[in-house]
Amino acid sequence: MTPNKTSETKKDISHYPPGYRFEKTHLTGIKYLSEFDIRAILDHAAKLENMDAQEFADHNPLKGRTQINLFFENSTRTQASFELAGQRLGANILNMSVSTSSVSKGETLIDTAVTLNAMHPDILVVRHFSSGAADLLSQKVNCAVINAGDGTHEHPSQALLDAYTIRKKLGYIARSAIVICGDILHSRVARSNLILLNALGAQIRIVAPPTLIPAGLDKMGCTVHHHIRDALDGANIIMMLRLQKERMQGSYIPSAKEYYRRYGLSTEILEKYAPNAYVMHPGPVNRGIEIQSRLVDDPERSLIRDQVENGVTVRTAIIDMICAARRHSVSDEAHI
Amino acid sequence: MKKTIIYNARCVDPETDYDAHGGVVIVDGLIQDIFTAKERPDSEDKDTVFIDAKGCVLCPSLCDIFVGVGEPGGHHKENFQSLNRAALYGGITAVMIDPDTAPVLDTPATVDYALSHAVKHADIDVYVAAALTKNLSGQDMTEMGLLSDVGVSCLTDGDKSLPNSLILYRALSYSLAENMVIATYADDPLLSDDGIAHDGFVSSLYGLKPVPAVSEQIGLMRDIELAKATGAKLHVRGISSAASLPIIARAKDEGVDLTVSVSAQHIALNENDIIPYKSFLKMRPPLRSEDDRAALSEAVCNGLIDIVISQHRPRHADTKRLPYQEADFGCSAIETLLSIILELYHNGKASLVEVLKRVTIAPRKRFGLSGGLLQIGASADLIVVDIDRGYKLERHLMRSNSTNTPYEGRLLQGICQQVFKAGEVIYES
Repeated sequence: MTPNKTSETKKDISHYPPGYRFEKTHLTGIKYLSEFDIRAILDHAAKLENMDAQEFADHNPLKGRTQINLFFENSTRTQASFELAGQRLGANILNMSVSTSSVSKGETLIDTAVTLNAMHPDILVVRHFSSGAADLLSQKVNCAVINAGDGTHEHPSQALLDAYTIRKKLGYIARSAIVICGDILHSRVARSNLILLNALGAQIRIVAPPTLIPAGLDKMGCTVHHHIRDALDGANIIMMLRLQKERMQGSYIPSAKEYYRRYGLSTEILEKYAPNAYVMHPGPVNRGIEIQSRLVDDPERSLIRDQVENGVTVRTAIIDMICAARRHSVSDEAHI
Repeated sequence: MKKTIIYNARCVDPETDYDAHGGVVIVDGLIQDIFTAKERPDSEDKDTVFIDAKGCVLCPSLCDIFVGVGEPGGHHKENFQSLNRAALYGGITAVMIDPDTAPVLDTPATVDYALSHAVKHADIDVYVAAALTKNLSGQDMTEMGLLSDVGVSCLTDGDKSLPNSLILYRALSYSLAENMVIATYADDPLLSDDGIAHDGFVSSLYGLKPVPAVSEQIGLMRDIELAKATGAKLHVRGISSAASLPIIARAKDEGVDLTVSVSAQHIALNENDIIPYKSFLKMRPPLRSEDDRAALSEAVCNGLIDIVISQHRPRHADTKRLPYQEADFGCSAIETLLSIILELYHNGKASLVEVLKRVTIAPRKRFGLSGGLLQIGASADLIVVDIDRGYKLERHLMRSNSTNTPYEGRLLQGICQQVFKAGEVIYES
């Protein structure tokens, strides 16, 4: 595997401070992680990916444990990959979605949580339309809470898998030039990515119409642009964000057509301004709105499928590490 | 090489405060030299055209913004040919038209249509202030970026305030990306409540539904605060009350990117002029008290008000020859802008340079339009004006398709003798 070797030489090796141990027992946001926590998850994901089949088959620390996927919003890739990740680690998986739960009968989030908590799950993967829902749950239940996206707050596992994808492709994140383009204001993916990539020393450029940029972004360590071509010079990675349909008709931006002209990414623009950049998108993609259809499918340029593939690996690492940290904390308590 | 020399003129360049007797040498449409000699200069080139200005003022041509036109959709009120005639008579060679046509100028396609028509039928430069919201509905913003691509530099919903602050906030914010000027009409529509006359003695005596001046101040303060919060470029069009002036002064001191305009009517007329029910003087905002008028003229003279506009609203007799309450708003005023602004000079309120600033360079600078300079190297878009010559305005002699003037019978001064565009004479009186 020659390409791997070359990237190996450029690879930023993680150095941990003496005595460092991953101690997070929930993952509700990147902002609660240290730089080393982030590196530890990425390194663990790399380790899991490089395990051979036999080794992996023997690695099932979650055997007999229960993972509940509690999804209040629709999801394809996130829910499926968390399910696969849990299965790989040997957990029993329970999938719950709003339409089939008592939430549709008017039960509050906390009541649902308390009910589920009474069944003694070990991991609760939650997606919710309200910012802070995952944080609230983590205070109310005894198990590990993993945020699979809450409102416009964070989507930590997505940011981790994006970072993993970048590191795998480029071999490094520090000093890489990363463009994030689209609806930053409503994007939990953008928030998590900003914090994470900043922590790892990337140079971040934001591209969005002024109406879709949250206040105080300039304090988050990035430059802001209002035309995609202005941000592309020397870019390594271009992350395109999904533009939701309800924002297209004049309230935030005048029209989808104008948006595509200013903020859309096409092969032509890429060739002209950033011929060496890779394209990422958290999905689902609006073809022809934020990104040219042809570009989505370009195997040379698009890392969109890599992101999905790495999603399972990274989520496996997340669950694995959080459960390990919980075991440690329990045994520490036992020692006391 | 085509050479024209205009001599024996009082040359005025408002941008540089230049005001001296002499003339200019125009070569191939550009001003090559400005001289101060009193006599006709010599030229080696025997084809040189000499024009004796006979002591008249030679200054940059005027620019009028937020001009109402009926194209597309209302040719009988004003089309580009009639607008061209009227504008040239008034010494104007650049107009920025309002979007309130039918259909509304709110897409690149309709703007393109209007511009291409204008090029075909008018000698003057026509620019478009496109709609800020689709169909002037006050709801969804127009395609600012694509409009900017077809040359639009200003967006406005006309003489209509945006009722929804959030929409204005987002539009101002979005305009930053395109570096456009948003022009608003300062008003609180719930407070002005379809009023038709200034809330004062005259409206009380004549039983006309009032528009309180405070509705302008509330609208103005909101728009200014939103511009301040977003950092966007704001122009407040056609203010009407004295109480707005300190608000404007404070905002400018604070560094808000703000310019304001006033209509010529609001510095020339007051509420008493509408007596008795002169529907031709019904306008939006309404003519206010004499104190307001005096304060506004002073603000024009001292520069607090940046731009004076004609607020040209051509209206057909059908919609004007009606009881005051039912008549349409607006007056046909593009022909009289020059004479009205010159009244400030003739009354000794301000220097000629100062009054000409408000109608030549100021609007062009704010909206990024070319021209407005009497300087070496600039395009020779100039006018020769006999500023002293008087005349009595007669409606039936007006050039606009609509003759709803508020100045019928008024004695005015200042007649534009010649208009040059890129060195060519395009109008002569």
